[in-house]
Amino acid sequence: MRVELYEIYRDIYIKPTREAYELALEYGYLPYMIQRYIDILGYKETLELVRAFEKSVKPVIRTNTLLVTSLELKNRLQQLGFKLEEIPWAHGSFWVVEKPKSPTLGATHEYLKGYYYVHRDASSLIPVLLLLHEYSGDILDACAAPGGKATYAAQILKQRSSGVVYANDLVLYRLRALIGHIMRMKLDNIVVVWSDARALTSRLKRRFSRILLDAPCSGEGRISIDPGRKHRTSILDLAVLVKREIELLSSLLDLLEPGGLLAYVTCSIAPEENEYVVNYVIRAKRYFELVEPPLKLLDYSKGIVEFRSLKFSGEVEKCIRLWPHIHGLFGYTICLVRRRRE
Amino acid sequence: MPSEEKKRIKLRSRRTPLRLLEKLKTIIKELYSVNPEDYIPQSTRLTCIDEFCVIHSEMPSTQELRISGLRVIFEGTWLGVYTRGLVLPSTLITRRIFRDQGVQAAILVAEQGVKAFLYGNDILPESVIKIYPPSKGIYAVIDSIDNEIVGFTKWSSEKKVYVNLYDLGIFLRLLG
Repeated sequence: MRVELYEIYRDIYIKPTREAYELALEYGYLPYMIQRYIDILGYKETLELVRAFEKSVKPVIRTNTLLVTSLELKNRLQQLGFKLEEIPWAHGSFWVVEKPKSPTLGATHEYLKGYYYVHRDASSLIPVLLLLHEYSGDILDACAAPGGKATYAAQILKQRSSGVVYANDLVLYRLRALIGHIMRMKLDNIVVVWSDARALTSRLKRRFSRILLDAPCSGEGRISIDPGRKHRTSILDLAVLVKREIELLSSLLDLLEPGGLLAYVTCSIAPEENEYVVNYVIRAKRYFELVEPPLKLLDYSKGIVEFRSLKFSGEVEKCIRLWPHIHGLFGYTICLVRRRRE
Repeated sequence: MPSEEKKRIKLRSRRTPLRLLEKLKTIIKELYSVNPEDYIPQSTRLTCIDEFCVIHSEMPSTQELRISGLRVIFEGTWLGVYTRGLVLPSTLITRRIFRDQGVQAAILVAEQGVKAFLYGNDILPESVIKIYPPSKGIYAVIDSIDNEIVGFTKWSSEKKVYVNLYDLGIFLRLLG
């Protein structure tokens, strides 16, 4: 798909108001970001959002149930001084509510033996659960490293005795970490591919019923653990990211089998990187539609249909949003796209 | 071609050279008196990231990917490691052999010993709770807490310790 950077830049350009400048100055954000939050949420809720970003999120451990039961792991980690709270919608995963000074989560015997994976936040569990709901078969994880979702998918598919995870990424040093996780967790149903995801369509002869596209993004939903993201991405930088996100989504949709499902995921709350991208691609391509999530794991917020002068298809309301001030998680957006049966 | 790296990483992935595959089969046969063909498939690959090499099985579906020019850098079951000139079975394959044949050529190690071992250290004889025969110099290390295999050692009569050949912590130390 041919995408013009200038066109995107023009579409997403935001001129902040004085109110936005003042709040941005107070909390250290780029003004256009605050203006965008005010436009979406209103001033009062924007304050709640930026204050929520100042709070830390609870890390999550996900039991490798192929090697150990979640109860056994919980008992062993509690003996080491960790306090764990089960995540009600993700069996075998726990919020870490208290940690000892030593060992760290990534240095216990149990970790080295592959009994669990550490997620920075619970939000990344959701797309895997949605995409693999009542599914057995292969999955392509197009931007997979460092591998939280790929190893989770492999674990679920292994328990269902069906399916291989094709885990691709462009960045080799991140793939190195993924291979480490695969061996540590003793998974044998993952194929690791080193490629630009946009090149997969022309190279792969086969198609997939499930594709996970966790697109490289601004990471605007992860400000709580990386405050530098408050001022790292200019509007032009954002336009460059959006262009790549459109190219990735457009390209990977061509790898989807009729009836197949692709989860477009970003750890960003920017509508430019989510609803705008999905709307742009769906509008240009035939045979694709957005679908509601098959599971209500928690009370998701809906996708944004209208943003400043941009009006998207009503379908994007089916995307789900996680807001730090509402859900207590990273800011996160998931859109499920299905290829219609021709 | 994929990305510019922050730090130059040397990656090599190829069919396992016959001499390495034979070495792996020989050590499995010597240590556990089993037919290695029961545990090592015919098609295997060797992936080396910097100086750390892993032998793993080749999945049939990946041949098509390679033919189309994609770089498959890991797949299938972890079978062994090739490090510092030595070929050793993976803990995964050893686990399967022990499940089928019972525990052999292994040492059961106390918690403190395992802790040090997983950080790359050697094991002192005082930490060894039990030695499973036969004694052929190389031992699988079993954690006494959960009977999980955590790596391999070699007895050094000179140093009077079980020298760390590799442990599961290596993935974190070398691969990040």
